[in-house]
Amino acid sequence: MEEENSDTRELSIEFTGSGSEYFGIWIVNILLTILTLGIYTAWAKVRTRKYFYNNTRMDGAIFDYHASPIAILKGWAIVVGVLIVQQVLSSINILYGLGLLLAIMAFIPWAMVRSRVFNLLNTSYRNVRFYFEREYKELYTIFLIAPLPIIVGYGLFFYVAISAESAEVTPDTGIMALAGVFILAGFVLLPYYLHRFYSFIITRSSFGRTPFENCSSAGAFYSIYLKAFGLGLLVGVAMMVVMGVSAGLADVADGVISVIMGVLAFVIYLIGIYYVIYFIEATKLNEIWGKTSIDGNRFISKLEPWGLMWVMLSNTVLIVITLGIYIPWAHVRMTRYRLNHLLIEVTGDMDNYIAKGHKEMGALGAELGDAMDFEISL
Amino acid sequence: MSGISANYYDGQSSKRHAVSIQLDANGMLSIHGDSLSACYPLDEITMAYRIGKRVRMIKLSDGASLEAETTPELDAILDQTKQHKHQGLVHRLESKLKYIVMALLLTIAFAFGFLTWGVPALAKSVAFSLPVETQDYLGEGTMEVFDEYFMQPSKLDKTRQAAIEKRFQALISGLDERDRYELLFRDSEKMGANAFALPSGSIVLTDQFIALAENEKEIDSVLAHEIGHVHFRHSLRGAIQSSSAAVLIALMTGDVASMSSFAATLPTLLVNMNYSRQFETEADNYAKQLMKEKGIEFYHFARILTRLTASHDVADDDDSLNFLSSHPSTKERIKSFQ
Repeated sequence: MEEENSDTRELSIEFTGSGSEYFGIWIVNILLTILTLGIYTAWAKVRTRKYFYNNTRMDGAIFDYHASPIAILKGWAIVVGVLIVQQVLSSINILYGLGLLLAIMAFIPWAMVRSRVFNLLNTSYRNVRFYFEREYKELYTIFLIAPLPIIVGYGLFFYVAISAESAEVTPDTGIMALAGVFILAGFVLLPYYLHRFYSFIITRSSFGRTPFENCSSAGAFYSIYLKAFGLGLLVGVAMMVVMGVSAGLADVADGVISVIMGVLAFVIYLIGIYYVIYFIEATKLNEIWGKTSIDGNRFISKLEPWGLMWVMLSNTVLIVITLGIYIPWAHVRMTRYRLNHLLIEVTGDMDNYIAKGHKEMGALGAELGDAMDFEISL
Repeated sequence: MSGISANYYDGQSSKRHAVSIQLDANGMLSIHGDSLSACYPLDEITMAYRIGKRVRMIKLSDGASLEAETTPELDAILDQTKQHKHQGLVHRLESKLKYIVMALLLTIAFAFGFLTWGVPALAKSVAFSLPVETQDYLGEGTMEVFDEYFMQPSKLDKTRQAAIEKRFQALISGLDERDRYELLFRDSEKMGANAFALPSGSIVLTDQFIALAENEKEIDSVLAHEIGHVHFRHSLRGAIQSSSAAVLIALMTGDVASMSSFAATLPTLLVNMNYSRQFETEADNYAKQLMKEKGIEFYHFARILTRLTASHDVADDDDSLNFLSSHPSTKERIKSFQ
């Protein structure tokens, strides 16, 4: 296929939904879900997704969502059935319930992959479906190995501490240090596994037959988490300084000033902690998306920590004040903010992506993932 | 030609074809563009969702699709397909103001009804099916905390304690065998004159409360009220209700925010206060029943309640604050016992 046009342009992603329009869909979804004792959730989910996808527009074309409510309903019914069995087993003997819970947990990576396959397969742009390779090994590897040093470390720590306690001797410092090394190593390795996870999610995804590529590095993840760690320390120091000054003033000034200083320290803490959280979120997504490309067309992500934090916190406050009525507007605002900060740099037109034949699949994994809140979103 | 402009995608590639669509004289959907021309019978439109007002996505039986801005002409064509027509109902509910308002009011009514009747009914059935050991465990836990931070052993002399205990036994004789009761005495400057019941069936009287009572029948009347709390498992039901209401409210309001627990506190607080008012009324009514049986005049409770209120300096008989007050207006309660 020859490129007729080799101009490079930046395409923005536009979100055309509105809070008031979505409110109608949202409230009718809730009411019908109540009236049907939950059965309508399947239709509610499809209509919500469809509304958001149909209002996502790039280069004059819109996204579409195709999942069949019946497929989702079947998955939902199985999940509800399993949860009921789990409850019944727990009430007979708590150990049976825990056993089943462990068995369900073993399915989490499987459910994540299935959920991703189901959702991408049911997403289209220009009538070409997205796709996700069914590969389970990598996720199982990550989920089994990543937490291992931390579990071993804590296990060792508590084992030694408890046995020393019961024998009334001081715990062996050598073994305690070893436990500490395990725990530390576990946390130090987390950004590596996190990067591996995101990289897996993106590079197994494709648009039609064209795979997404990702060249982000684990090093960048380490740099993000190091900066976040530094920011966290800075917040701690700033708080200490304010509290120290307030303690020093307590002798010379009246109580009002030390109260004000106390409030100030709390505000610094609150803003600082949320800033660190949204700093990680924004820079991580910028790194992942910024290093993602498809067929040579590069994504650009321009999320800002302050912007993200402002939308998130003001949404929360408005939801509380309105006792939940604001939720649809909050969803729309968040979606618009996120999509407006994602661009794609395209060379030529986007006419040449070839569709891949697809089979419909069940929604069990997707539902399991949803029920346990494990759906992957980027 | 007065066609509706749309984008056509064949489903094989992402190539876009600008086309114009219209319903021709034979009832066929005809599609015309620079490089293609096609005709579909209407029953080959396999999917045409109706969500929102901006665009319509139309799926055709051969895998091709059309994207078009919504116009009344387009909806009129699509309405001739079964699926689009069926969805018209849900779409109308979702987009007409009067239905949205109705849905909102109904949803609020359901949520209110569930919080007012559903949660208490659930809590009641859970509280009465919990094994005795769990209730004892909860009661002992609370008692340990109270003993550690708020209360000291009673300084009341043993003969006085024994006398009150004897009257207590007389009060509970003949009550439901399944309920267990236990009377405890504690000294507490911090809590002042107070009496309360725990899930385990323990009823605690403070020395300060005994000192406030002018006669034995006043003590009996308060014990009757506390026995009511134990009989109805109020403290356990209260704990279950407040936690399940918190979960429900967090589910309803907190799905966007990471601060869901914070988002849920205010409404939960209001709901819980309403619950505890119901419990007080229920215990008062139980106390009246028991006092009648044991020949204790109602005015004793009215008098001790008046003094208890005064000793705590609670000015909660302001009716405008009634909803926020955790007890029913004390004035009302006192009046009902006179």
